[in-house]
Amino acid sequence: MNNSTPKNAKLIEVSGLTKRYKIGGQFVTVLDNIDLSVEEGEFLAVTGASGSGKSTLLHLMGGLDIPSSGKVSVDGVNIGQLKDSRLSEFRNRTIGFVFQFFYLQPFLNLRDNIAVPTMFASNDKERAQIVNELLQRVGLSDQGDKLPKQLSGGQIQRAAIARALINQPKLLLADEPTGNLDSANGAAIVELFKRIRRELNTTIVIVTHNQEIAAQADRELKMKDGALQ
Amino acid sequence: MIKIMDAYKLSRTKLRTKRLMLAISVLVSGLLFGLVFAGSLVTVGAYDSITGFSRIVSNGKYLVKSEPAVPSSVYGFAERNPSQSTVDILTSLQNEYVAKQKTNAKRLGVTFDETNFQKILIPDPYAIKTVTGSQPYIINIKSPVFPLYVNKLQTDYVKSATTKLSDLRLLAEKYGAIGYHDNINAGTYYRTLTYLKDGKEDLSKVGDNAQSATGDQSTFGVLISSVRNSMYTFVDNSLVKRFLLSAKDRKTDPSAVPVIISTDEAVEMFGAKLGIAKMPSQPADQISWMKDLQIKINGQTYAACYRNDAEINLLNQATQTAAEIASNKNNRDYAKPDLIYALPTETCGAVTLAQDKRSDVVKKAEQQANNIAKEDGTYEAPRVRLLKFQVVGIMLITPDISNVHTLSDFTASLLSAQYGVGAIIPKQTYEQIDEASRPDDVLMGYSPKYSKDPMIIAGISDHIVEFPNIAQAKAFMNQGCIFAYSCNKSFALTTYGSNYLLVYDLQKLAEQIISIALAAALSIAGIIIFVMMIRVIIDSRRETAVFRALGAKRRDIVAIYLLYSLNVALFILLFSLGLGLAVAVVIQLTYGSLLTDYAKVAYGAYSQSLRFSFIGFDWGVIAGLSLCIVLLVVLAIIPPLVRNVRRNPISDMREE
Repeated sequence: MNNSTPKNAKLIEVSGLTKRYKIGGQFVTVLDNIDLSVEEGEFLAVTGASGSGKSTLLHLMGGLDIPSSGKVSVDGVNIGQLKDSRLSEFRNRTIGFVFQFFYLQPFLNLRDNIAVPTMFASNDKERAQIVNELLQRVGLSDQGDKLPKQLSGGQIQRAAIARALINQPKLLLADEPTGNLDSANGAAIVELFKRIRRELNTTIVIVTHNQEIAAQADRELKMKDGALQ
Repeated sequence: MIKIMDAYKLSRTKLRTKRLMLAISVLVSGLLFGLVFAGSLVTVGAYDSITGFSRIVSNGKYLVKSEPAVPSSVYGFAERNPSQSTVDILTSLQNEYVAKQKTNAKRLGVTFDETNFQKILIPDPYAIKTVTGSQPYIINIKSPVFPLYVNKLQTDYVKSATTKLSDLRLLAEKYGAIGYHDNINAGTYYRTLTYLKDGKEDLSKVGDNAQSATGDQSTFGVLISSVRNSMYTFVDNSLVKRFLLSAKDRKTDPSAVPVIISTDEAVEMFGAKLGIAKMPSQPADQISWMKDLQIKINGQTYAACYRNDAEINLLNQATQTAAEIASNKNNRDYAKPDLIYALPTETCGAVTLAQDKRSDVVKKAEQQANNIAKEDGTYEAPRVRLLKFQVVGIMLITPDISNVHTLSDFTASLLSAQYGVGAIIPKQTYEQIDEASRPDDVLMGYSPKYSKDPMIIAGISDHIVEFPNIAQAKAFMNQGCIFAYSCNKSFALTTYGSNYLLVYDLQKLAEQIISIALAAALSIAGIIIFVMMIRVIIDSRRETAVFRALGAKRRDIVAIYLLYSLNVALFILLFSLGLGLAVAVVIQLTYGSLLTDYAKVAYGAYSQSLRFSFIGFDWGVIAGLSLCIVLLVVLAIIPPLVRNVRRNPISDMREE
């Protein structure tokens, strides 16, 4: 993985992060003045009840949403200052996303699904080889030609993780990655995250309300009403 | 920026979503555009076919008939109560005439009785005297001064006329005319030239008793009875060669005037004799019928008898005298006239003198009158001439387009020959017959070679002008009127030989209809496709958000959906092209053979391997239509797509 960042360097720095939404003519504060940092290679779990603001925090860290105030730096880059095009590039190269509902393309086979982020990077160099390696890494080496509908939920999520990893991101953001899986598959996914962190030194931030999963992280941040507890 | 093949791969996955909506959109849009394509293919095919036939039969030339638009006043007919200046001219001409008659009479030792000659001006008791300048007279057309007046009018008109052949050439050359032909009316009609049915002459229906053979007074009726009405027109062989029987097989009579007649008249004149039934209604049968007719009619002749006005006068006298004698058969007090003419005893024989008991004084007076007429060139000796005609060609004449009742009539009329005459004498073939047998004195009275008419001598007569294409012919025709009698321009200009202008105009009309249909198709298909695209884009919001999360730039998303829209456009294009072609093929299979037969009969192109095709490709139109479809689909996706890429991706994910 990327060796330019010193061990225990801060990959994510969040300061004074606030997010408000206008709902029904009134502003609702979803995140309130959050400060936090995540070290490179750290496995962080963010927990909290529904509506506590944990997914919003994740999206803001991934540059998918714009803060109302405050700053988010990832790998030393203040992502709030990036223009849309540069932010897309940054996201593509630095961040991998894993979603609760997988969001694979239903009519693409696994290989193509995993390769989608490389398409946006205009990078097809050794694409097939990298995809094969990832399929092997997530335990789907013989499933590459199948469509998502031919696979189980756990297999699909592993494919989604492979997709998130294809551009070798420093940061993996997972929003309830086991929320749609049974406990056995959920446990397998957590094991996969741990292995990835171990083997690739990828920083992982996982949003979950499953305490068993949170317990396996290096650190757990609990959120309540838009603030860290 | 995403690579094109990757964008294409992602865009193709969109085609597998909303399949029913996509199928309906492609089907409805394809149907609409398919009909537009079909319209274009059929129109272009039909137009190319007709012009193809037209080109073959007219050597690629488009003909325009030109008639000089001469004011009727030039013929002396306009003024009932002439102006003072006209009265002065007429009086002067009359004085000259009287003086000349007196001089001639004196030289011949007779007296010219001024009181007994028809004066040019007759008092008009109904004249409206309040009209400024008008004089209370009527111009007497029976006066011997009248021809002198008309001659003067025409001689004066010719001096400043802009209707001469030279004027026509000047005008036509501006529009690219490539050739000129005379179109000489023989000037005969049923009174002076009698068609002899079965070679026999019925003296009760000759001269002033003759009647038009035209039962139907329509143009069509006149055209298909031209021989029986003795209305002939000289036309250059090159313009009518398609109707001529094959020169190789043609039986020629060097003493007969060659003539091309209509199919209707051929049946009327020779049907019974040659066993030719009426023309069948089915075009396929018409071709074999026409070929059979051409074989049977080859070498057939008929006769006509020419009598000039002097001979007709004698004939009238003979007829009246014979009737008078017959009615007084039992009247012992009845004294036969001193002068009796006998009706001819042979077909087309001359009236002969049966008895002349007139006194020497009367005879001498008549002789002197004739001598005076000879002196001033107005004497006409009685003349009779038996003319022999030989059919050398057949042409199909169909009803005028305004007269059609069925689609078949319309098609036949559209494809018909348009010569405006029903009996054509091919000029060069005519010139090949024996000089002694050539009745120039009867048939060529209106030719510049024989006529004394100042208008004809000056080239103020009908002509045919050739153009290399329809557009030039049409542009030239726009410089003239349709009818010569109500024309404020120099010439009346109309199509000649075929209905090419109508075909051209119909094609233009079809283009307009197709344009309207295209606009309608674009509107309807545009709405359908637009709605579909909105649905597809709305349904793709989550997918777009995911792509954005995975690092897609806005322009990557745009590229994917533009390629998707191009895919949809391609489906619609292929479907509509296929449908259009299929419709055209069905029309071709249904009507192609029929129209081929129609066209072959109409254009006289029996032995040509030409086919009438409803499938014609105008690549410009096809490319334009294709571009319209592509633009429509691409434009339909742009507004929802722009809105979509501007959205916050996370809000779309949250909505999920």
